[in-house]
Amino acid sequence: MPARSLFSLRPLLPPATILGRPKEVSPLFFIFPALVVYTGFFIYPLVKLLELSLYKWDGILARKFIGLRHYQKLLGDERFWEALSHNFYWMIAAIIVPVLFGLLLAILLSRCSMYGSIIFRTIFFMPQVFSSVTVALIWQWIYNPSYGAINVLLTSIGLEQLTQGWLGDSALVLPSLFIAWSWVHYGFTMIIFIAAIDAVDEVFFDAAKVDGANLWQQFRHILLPSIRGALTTIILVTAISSFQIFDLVYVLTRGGPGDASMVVPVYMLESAFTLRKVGYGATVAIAMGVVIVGFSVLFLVLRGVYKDED
Amino acid sequence: MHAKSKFMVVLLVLLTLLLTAAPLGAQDDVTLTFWFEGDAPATVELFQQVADAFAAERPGVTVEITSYGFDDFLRVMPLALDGGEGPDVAYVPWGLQALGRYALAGHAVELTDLAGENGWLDRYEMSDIRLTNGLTPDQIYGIPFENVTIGVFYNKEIFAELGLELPESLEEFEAIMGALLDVGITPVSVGGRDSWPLAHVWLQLVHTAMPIEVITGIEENDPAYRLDTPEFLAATEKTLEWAQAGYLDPNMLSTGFVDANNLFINGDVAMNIGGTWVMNDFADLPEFAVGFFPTPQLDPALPWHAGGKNPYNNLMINSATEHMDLAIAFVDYMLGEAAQTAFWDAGHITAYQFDEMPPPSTPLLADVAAANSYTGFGYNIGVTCSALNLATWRTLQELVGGDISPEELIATNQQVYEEDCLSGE
Repeated sequence: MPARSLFSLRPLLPPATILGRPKEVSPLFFIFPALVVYTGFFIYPLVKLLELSLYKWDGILARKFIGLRHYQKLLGDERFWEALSHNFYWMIAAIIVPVLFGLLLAILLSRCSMYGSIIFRTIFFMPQVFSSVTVALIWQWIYNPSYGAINVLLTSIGLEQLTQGWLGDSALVLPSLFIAWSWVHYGFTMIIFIAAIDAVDEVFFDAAKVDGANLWQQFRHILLPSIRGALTTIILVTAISSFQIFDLVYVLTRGGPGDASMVVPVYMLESAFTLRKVGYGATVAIAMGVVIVGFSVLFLVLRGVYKDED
Repeated sequence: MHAKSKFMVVLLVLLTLLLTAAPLGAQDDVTLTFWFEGDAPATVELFQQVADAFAAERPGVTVEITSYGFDDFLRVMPLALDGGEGPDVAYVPWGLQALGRYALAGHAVELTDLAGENGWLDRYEMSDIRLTNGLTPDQIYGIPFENVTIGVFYNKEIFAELGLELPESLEEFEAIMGALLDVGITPVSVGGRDSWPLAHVWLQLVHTAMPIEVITGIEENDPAYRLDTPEFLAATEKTLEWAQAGYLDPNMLSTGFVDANNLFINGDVAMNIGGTWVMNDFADLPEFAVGFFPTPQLDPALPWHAGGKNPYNNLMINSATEHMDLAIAFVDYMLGEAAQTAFWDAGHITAYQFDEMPPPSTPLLADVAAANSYTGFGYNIGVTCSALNLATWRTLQELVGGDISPEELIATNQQVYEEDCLSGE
């Protein structure tokens, strides 16, 4: 059966009532309020952003139309590409570390009969409810070279030679920031996985056990296919949020030392507001949006979502 | 007339009275809005006191103050001005990052005539005003009423214990840092994670390596001056040398501005190179006496000047204000002796030229005043365009992190100076 066009005038509701409502109600009527909100708060700002990217503007003096020059500049902007490479690094690590860790915890808390699993779920999820600035301040203390938890611990167990300036070393800063971010994010992945695992009918596992399947086989052939939808969502959300990483980096390092932890959102803020190159900042924002959308489409295509729907 | 009609007439009369009575009653009450950059609690309290004192002399007048951090101010103020809003009076950062740009956009009232009429120019230096106004050297749009200076804060207790004398040359200064290192004390704390405090160390050396004309020329975006000269290279090499020698806290790139100050306040390091905006904290919080001396000259042939003073923020009037006379009166009050005495007493280095200078309120302020009296003020290159500031901060982190050489740093700075500062961006 062919898909119904959104703009079709075919009736979706029961016809005619005693109140004299129109016999046919377009779906447009129902989506109109949402469409207005979507247009006002997404489409319009997006169009304005595109428009801004074509102008040279400091945010206060008169704008000057410069066409696509900002896009041309972006292509040769080494700082932008370095920041983008950090986002890609972050994304790859984010898809692996917090997702796997969340999955492992979810399996432990859902599938293993554990006393106090509700308490553990709460504890593990706790970082997720902290504001990002609070998280940044906690990790700022943990990473402090003089009195921070890590260096104090290393010193107290005789490993003083391993103490580091965690946020001041250009080789360590990005992994250090990523660990802080993962500490928050794994709680999110865990809770989604728990919901998905809890929804799997126990009958499948019982049948597998009867057939002699071991734990790995149960995971590989029952659990994993059953939580495929949740896994897709988590990977997509994680990947997108890793491109949007801002607060933690901004509070802890502002992209430093040098540009060692610079990520695209911080670079965008620096361009648009600190350097008052609003048009260029808009260009960076659009480039980031294109990368996110591009990645999402690519991932969904690879994942076979479109194929499944067909 | 029907009862219903009578009722309607009475209702209309009552409504009319109600609607007109409220504005009539309120027309004498005026609220003047004042925004300023500076969010330290003591600063906010001080501005509130001065604003209240101004309002107390004028019945029906209230001054509503709002404080912002530096970055927030630079974001919020243009948006407010652009939307025809914003405060009646504001105390805004200097140059093209704020005041100069607001003036060019027509948001700041020209104060040139008012400055003469009200005698402001008798009490404030025109050279400071010219520098802070950015692109509008012949016209006054803002008056800076306080100065900040950068130098070396030191722990008098540690210096006394080790028998260290205040340095008069760079060699003596380095000998002091070496002596401190020998007894296991980190000589200088630097909040290099926040990048700009590290720039202050470099700026001190830059500042003492070349004549003042070069500094002011670059601040004014004069293409005749360059940032890749041998003097800049010498200052950059010296910064790196200090970092590698351990004179600067080896953990500086992972230590923020506040933490670096706390290291000094707690007595864990002997010195802190910083600006006088932290002076009140350094005067009050440590359990030891803190002193101040200017950074010795990298080029001893040059006249010694306190390394990097700059006129601070500027008072400006929003051209969209509906209370112009009151706004002018407020600016006049802020620039007057009573308010400036309050600022001086609170530990701010006022630019107001008193007939007789009041005594310093703290021994540390006395030290700063004394240092400036025997060296003279210089200007701070850190007041230049934002792109150059950011590039300097970034490349200095890379320099002390071992990622780039001094030559690469000055080349990058010169490139940014040409591409961003000289182009007027």
